[in-house]
Amino acid sequence: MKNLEFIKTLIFAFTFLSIYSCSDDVLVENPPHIISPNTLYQDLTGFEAGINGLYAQWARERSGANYGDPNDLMIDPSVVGTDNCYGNRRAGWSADVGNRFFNNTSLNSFSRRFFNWLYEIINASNTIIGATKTEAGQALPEADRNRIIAEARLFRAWAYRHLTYSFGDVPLALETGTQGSALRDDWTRQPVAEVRNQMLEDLLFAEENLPETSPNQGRLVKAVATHYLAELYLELDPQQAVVKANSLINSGLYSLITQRYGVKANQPGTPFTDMFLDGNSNKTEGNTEALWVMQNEALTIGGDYNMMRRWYRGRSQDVRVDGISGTIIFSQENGGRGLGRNAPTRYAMELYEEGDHRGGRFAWRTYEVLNNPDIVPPFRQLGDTIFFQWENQDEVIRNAYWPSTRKWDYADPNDISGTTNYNDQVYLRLAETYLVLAEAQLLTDDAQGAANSINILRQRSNASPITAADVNIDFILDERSRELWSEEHRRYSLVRAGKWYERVSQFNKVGGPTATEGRDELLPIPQSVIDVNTVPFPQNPGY
Amino acid sequence: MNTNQLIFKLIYLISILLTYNGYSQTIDISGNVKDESNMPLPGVNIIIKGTTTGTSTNFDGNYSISASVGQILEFSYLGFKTKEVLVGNATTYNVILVTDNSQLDEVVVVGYGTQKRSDVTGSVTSVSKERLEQVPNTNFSQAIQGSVAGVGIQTTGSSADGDEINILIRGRNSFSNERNQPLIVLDGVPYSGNISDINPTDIASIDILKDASSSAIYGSRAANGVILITSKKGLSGIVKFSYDGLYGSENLTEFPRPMSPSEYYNFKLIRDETLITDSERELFENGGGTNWLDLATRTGSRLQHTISASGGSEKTKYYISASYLDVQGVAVNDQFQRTTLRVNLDASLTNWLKIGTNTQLSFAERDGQNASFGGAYLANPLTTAYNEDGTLNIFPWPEDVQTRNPLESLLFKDNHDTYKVFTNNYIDVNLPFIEGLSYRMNTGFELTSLNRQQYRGRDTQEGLRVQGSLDLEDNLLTNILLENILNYKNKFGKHSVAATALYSYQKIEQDIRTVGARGFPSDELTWYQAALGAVIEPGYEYSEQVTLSAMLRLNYTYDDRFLVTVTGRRDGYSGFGENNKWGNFLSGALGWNIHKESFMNNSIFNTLKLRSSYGLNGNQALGPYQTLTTLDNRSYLNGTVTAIGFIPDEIGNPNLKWESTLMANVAVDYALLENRISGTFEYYSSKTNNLLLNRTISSVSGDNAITDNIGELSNTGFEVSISADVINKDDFRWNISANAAWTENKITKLYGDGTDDLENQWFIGKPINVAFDLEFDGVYQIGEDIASSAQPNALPGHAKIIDQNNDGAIDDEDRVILGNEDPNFIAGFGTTITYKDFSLNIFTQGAFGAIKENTLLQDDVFSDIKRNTTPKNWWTPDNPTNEFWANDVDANLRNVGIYESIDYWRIKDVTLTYTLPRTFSESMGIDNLRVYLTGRNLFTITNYTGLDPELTGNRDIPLSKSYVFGINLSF
Repeated sequence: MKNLEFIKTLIFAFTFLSIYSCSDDVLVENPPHIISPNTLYQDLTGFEAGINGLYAQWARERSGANYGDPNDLMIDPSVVGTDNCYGNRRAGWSADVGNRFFNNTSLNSFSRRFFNWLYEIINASNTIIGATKTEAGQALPEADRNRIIAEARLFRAWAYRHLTYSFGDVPLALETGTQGSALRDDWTRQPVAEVRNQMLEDLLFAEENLPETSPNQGRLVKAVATHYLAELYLELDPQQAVVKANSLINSGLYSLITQRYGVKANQPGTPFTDMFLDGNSNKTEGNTEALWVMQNEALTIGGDYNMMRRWYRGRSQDVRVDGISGTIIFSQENGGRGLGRNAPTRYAMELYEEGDHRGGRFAWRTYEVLNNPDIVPPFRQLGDTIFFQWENQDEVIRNAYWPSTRKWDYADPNDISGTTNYNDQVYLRLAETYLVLAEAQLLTDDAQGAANSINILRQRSNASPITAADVNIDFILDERSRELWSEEHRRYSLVRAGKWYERVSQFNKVGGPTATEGRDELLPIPQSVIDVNTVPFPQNPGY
Repeated sequence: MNTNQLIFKLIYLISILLTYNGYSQTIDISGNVKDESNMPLPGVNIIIKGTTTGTSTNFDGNYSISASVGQILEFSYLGFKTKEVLVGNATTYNVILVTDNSQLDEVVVVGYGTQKRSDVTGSVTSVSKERLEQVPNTNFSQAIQGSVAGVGIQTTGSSADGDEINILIRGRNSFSNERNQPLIVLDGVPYSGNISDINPTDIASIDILKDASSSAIYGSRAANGVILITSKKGLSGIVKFSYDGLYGSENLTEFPRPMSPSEYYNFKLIRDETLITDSERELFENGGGTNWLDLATRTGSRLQHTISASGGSEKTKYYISASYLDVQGVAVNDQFQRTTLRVNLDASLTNWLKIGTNTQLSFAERDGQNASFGGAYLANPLTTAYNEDGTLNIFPWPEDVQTRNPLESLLFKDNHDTYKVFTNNYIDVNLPFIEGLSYRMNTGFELTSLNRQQYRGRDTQEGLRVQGSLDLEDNLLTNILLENILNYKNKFGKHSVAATALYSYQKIEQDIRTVGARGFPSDELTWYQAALGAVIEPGYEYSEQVTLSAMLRLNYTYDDRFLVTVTGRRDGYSGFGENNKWGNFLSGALGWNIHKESFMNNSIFNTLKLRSSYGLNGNQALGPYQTLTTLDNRSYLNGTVTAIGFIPDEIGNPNLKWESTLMANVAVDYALLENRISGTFEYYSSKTNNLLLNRTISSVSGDNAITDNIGELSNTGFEVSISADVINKDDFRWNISANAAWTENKITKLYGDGTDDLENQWFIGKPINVAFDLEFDGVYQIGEDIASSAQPNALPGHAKIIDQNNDGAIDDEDRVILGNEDPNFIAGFGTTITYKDFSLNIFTQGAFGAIKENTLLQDDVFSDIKRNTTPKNWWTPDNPTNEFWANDVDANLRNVGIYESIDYWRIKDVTLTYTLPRTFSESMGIDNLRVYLTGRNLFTITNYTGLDPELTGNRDIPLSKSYVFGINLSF
């Protein structure tokens, strides 16, 4: 039996040792499926993927306060709560920053998300810019590297534009936020002027290094940098703003739409409204005016965002004719489903003169057409147009009979009643450059030049020409509203002109009475940002 | 030795054997077996030691068997000490079996081995047999609820598989529910699957480790307690077959119903007449409308068959079972079928080598998406469920095409299968050279394959929108365990020592492959057509986690009176941050068996034991990869095609580690009056540090928060259990058992700056789960001075809110802590009365000290009145009640909620059993036949007026009332 004892010992020793030889290496995590900064920015494809992420973040301006959740939009605070737009709803962010400024506190979760979203973009840009300095980044072809840096820096400047106009002085983060152990908690608010100097540098670099044209309609080109430079120079050096705006207008690459074109060229319409039709927004589709177009695509990853419509388009379903419900059903013609959460103020609607295409029936829905063959009210006929009685009335919340813009009309042919908007949308167009030019001309005492610039736009839309005597900053703001309602970041235009409180309290009958001068011109810094900072981080005045 | 010699020796050997066989003298033996009080014992197993030959006594305790002189008869009977008798020349052997009196000599599973109850120093509580048998348990958690002091079960929804529960041992030690779950160890293998995949009829025992010392053997996973489940094993003796079957119905309990169509019409009329659409009015006028809840629910059923065979020889024992369970839940289409096969086997191959397996194969089906109970609860009743042709109306409200039919999910094509192999295999070796030293190689392997396919076609709104959509999931979970265990046990005079050393490796890997696709040419091919989708989104999730552990447990006993246990464990876990991969956990315990002291010789105590423990345990709390900096997928477009993109996502933290709990425990075990009364008093106090919290960081860094080990909390508690045989006569027995536990849970530190976390509603000095809200204070009445109240704009009929800070306005600053949402006192009480062949068991259970918002007491019908609610005592000028505000959209703009106590006492199970008298059963050739009738959730005492005080939500499937008829047969 001696042998047996030996075998037993052997079995034991063998099994025991076989396991004990497991080393600590098995505790090191090497996830094969997770992308980390160390694995992504290794080649051009990786850097491009980083840039694509920035575009996706940018698209959230119109598609969701949370990623993939379009129940509130990041654009809300820039657009509603102004002289020309209010929240046609009881609750939600656009009601908080649009109708009840007392609700727009430092604890408001939307303001926090807005602030966080912009710094996410800045951090993503910084991460990419930082990675270009690594060995892998330096190995990229120089032209590609500079273009990538240019795109990242433009997004960074774009985010700081939102931040400075919304919050005033903000921390200037130019390095990537690294690991939890090395996080900064001693941020300070840098003066707006200092932040703008950085934006200027970024935009100049971008203008220098971005291509003039891109086969990809949604991609950044030089013109976008030039436009934002012109706008930034309004604050820094209006003379330069004139130069920049003119250089873009005269580049020969873009021109205003003055003729009918595109998918509905042969149907009733106007040149101005043609730009907003699905299928007409890109340069390749005939839109010579567009500088930057937000791309979207149904049933495609990377598209499939729900952009804009629910907020600006009234919901025909809620409209009753002669007190009868169900007479209007969603259709492609009437723009499909909407919610009409953000609506024009009475002021905005009364800006248009008779005949101005921008205020006409192709630009605004002030009526509904009876289109439900099953429910036609007595004494009416299918196809009758029913006009809303909105004239001479102040705006109120939850009004289904209020005008809504048709700029974002869209109905998915497969799903007329669906909640989603899948069209490409103009984000920035040359008309706005003209208005920046006019503002710069006014600031440099060239009222005639300003009137000329504005008349080019007015002429295109069949509005009567103005004279130099008509031009002042209020007129320019009015003209911006006529041309760019729901497109421009209205709050920023008003803040730049120092006119936010004056005009909101004068023109916005819902939110105006709740606004406080000296406070609501800026949004509150999220309380959490103040609380976690180890050095004093002052709140904006009044909050 | 040459070949010839070998052949010769073999022949010699065989002939000797033959000769021996031929000449061995077999004699017929008979006799009688009685207990100490001279009562015959029927059913006593008699086996000839070392063989498989055996018999058992008949009803009069008589037996007969053939055996040879020199052989040994082994008499065994549950609850009695086994007796051996040497066969001599006599032919009659009358035997008296002695009761195995001491319950404390019962063997307890303690993890990596077993211990005598009297040697245990930690807090190890076993679940009673009654809770495991003759009750309609879908999973083992239902056996635990109320039966073990200090173990709470929180039910989040009552689906057919019963999986929607959280088990809390001694309260909360961590901030999130997932991090509060105890470690479940099945047959020595840490279990990672669904609790409903374990067949409860195969379970022999459940032991729960509650204190630091007993659970310390599981180190970094022990802080929330450990549940040790041991499956049934065979006993040596002749083969025993058994059949267990039950059938019953599952019924909806009483709960507040939403409004009927006509009530809803009147509700809408008062609230905002203009919102009544023509189709609603038409339905109202024609007396139409839909009771959605009736359509979404049903009377369900429960059916289970289990057959098993067990037995074995001295060297080989087996338990084999097959079981089928079919539960049809009370929500339409909510179903669960489980088929299991178990093979438990152990074999002593030699006197030093033993191998064994405990293996379960299972197949569970959860096909079909049930009708949404919450959706049906809230659905507008003035709508139409079905079209005239009997098909489901997917636009039930013509004027509002957004409104979905809550029954729509019944039309989803849905297949949901889970296959599981769970096998534990081991080798035991008695090592040479050192007496008492043995080695076990223990392995575990768990493989779970979950396959789920769902297709939503154009007959549903969702499918119509996107031209059909599908989701496929292939989820493979593997769990591999490899353990080396050295055991040493020896006795030197009055000194007993035992040591257990462990080195183990466990790897859990999960591989989830998903495909989501939408936009199909037709519905014909359902989920098989992923490749035809306009959008196809494959997903791949993967995770791997590895735990390496070394453990040493030392037990020392002096004279069976003084007990010492010291345990140390060192765990390395891959999910911890790179700077903190390893953790050390140390604990110690002392015990004193006072009843064994000489001065206790004449006391009434059969057991009086004092024990205490102190030690540190951990909670892994982190999933894999949570410490790493990662990027998230955010794609854009190149024209019309996808442009893959990424942005920085989580900011990693390489310092993350386990949450640690330091616990002290003091207890007294007692048994007196010949063990007729027994129980335990136990007190504990614990402090948990390094709790994982999302530490808010400056958004300027690009994210809002990172995870960090910063929180602290404490738990203090007292537990009592008692079991008493009140009456212990031959044909009349009455036993009661009760347990109760108090806990006090308190957050002691959050973010280090002394501030509370209003967002998560965590407050320093308060329990984790509190209700923090505005406080309802009745209704503004006509004539009341509203203008000078805190709600100057309110109208009569509006909800009144207490201005807690008296600043003359109602805002978030007026929120206060209204109470605890977790009970601080839970208890169970059971009693069994046995009279002759009948036995009645009543088991009740309750929880106290908690409140909850009764969300059914909100008119949350949306501002455009699209949803239903419950009928209420609304305020009107003619009904100036303070109970509920007016039916008006503006009546409760601040959304103040009404909170109610959720204290309850519930008659959980009532079981009446009838056992066929031995005389009859024996004449039919069977060992035992029992039939029983059980009612579950029959009656509840509570003041709560919401859905069910035991459920966390108010619109989930409520607990069902079951009536079950069952039968146990063995032969």
